[in-house]
Amino acid sequence: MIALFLWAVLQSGVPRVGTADVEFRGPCAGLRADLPGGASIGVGFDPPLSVGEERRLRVAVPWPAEALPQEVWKGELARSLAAAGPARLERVQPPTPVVGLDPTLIARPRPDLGRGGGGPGMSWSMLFVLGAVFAIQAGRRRRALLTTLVTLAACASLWLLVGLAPRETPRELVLYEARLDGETGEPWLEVSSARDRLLGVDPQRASIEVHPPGSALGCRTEFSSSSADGSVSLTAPAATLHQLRSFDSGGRALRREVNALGDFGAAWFRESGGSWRSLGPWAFGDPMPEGSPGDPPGRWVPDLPLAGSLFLGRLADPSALAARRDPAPQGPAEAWIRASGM
Amino acid sequence: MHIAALALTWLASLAPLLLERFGALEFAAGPGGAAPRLGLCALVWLALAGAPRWRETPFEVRNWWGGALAALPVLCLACLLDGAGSPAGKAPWAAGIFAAVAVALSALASDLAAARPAARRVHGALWLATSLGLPLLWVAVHWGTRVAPAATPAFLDFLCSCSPLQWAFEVAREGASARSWIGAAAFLTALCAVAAAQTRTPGGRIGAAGGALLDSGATGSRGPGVPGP
Repeated sequence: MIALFLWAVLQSGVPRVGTADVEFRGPCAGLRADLPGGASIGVGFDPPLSVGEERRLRVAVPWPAEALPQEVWKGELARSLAAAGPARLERVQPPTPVVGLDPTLIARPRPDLGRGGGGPGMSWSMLFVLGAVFAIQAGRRRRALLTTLVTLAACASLWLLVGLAPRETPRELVLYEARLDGETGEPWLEVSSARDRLLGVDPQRASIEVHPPGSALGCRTEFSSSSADGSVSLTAPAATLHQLRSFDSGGRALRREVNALGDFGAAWFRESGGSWRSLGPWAFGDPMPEGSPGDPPGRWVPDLPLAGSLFLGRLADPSALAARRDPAPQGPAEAWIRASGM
Repeated sequence: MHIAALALTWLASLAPLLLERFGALEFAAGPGGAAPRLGLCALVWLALAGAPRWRETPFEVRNWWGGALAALPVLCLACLLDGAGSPAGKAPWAAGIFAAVAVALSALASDLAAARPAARRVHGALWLATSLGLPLLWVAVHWGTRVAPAATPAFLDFLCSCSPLQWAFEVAREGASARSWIGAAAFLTALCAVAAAQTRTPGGRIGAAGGALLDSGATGSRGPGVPGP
């Protein structure tokens, strides 16, 4: 009955991530604890804990979105961990909200990475190639050489169709939300978004959001000789994960007179109540280009306030502002800045 | 493989890709070696192309080769889409080539065994017990009784790795283990060998080209569709 209740609670809202202090006893190479609602906790040790070795470590754990008595969730976590392996839960820490940021930054819509993570889907031309080849194969099945040649040609055509198809949406991006008319030195909001899997998570300082609500969230913490505090990754199949944390802009300035922030590969600007202008590339140290009328990619526009000016730019070097303590192996695919009040 | 069965298999293997195309299904990027589209397409081809044949048919190399080749474009497309959808952007070519070879071997064993009733029975029993039965037993133990993965009998995991369907399932889920690659390859090779040996015994029916494939000249091949002595 309790499990059913917890399952319903986990399914009902946007799951979050907290931390738990757990005592592990060797031998242990890792464990996986399943929680109600498809959520899970994973822990890995490299090298494995030796026989009799005890370690008290902080791991990331899923946290229900609904207000739930902490003791209830703690009890469920303790039961699941004890059933999964030689682990004893000592203390839990609920998710901490991002502090010190202007509420309007947090209220902005999150980047939409779309379905399927941006890879090219099956197009009508691919289906046509498959259908035509199958029809030829079916009709000429007894002509081995002809069938082989047609099949190889079809494979080559499909390779060209998939290889030449554009990637419309990245699987991972970083968005910096800024208020340029705020107080000097006001922190920005850094939103790291990824489809299915988010690496380099900092559950103690960052806030996590998962869309759509009710997604099964898996938290995995890997301890190794190179990351003694643990490297946290989150998985949520067919969902988009966002990590929100405060970003110290370090006095970087972006004004119409001069770009003192970095090179932009592409940029757009909208005056208060006006329409969008495409600025094209904007190099570091240059004044803002005049540009020409043109809208930014559609996924950035919805739900933004019309009042006030708005700047949107894609950094030429995605890692130019990155301050990720535990970066993804390939780094963010794209980095964007969305700034109001310029 | 009969043309109707081939068309059905082709359509069924395309179903995951079509469902994704129309937004009814979304494949998540799994761990490193996972290839969900390829795994599902290969699963359908391995299950249907390797299934025991309904009726007795003399073996013809050209029929078998033409049928096996029908899987190649679908597997190739699944491979390419998995590569495009993965964070690293790498297509799972090794798994794709293995899947194509496994489909060809499965179909070869079925087509060879279809040449003779005794061979068909032996092949059917082996295929049902190993290729289909063992993964179903694994599913029953894991999902039906909710046994924790660590508590599963080791011998069941070991036996399951002989099934090509289990290999495809693992590819779709999280990438196949080395044991599954070796187990599936060994099982398919053994199945072909058993089917060929059964077919070559007196009473087997092998087409002209099939006889040429199986016989290296020491034993005479029989005519197309002509029952053996």
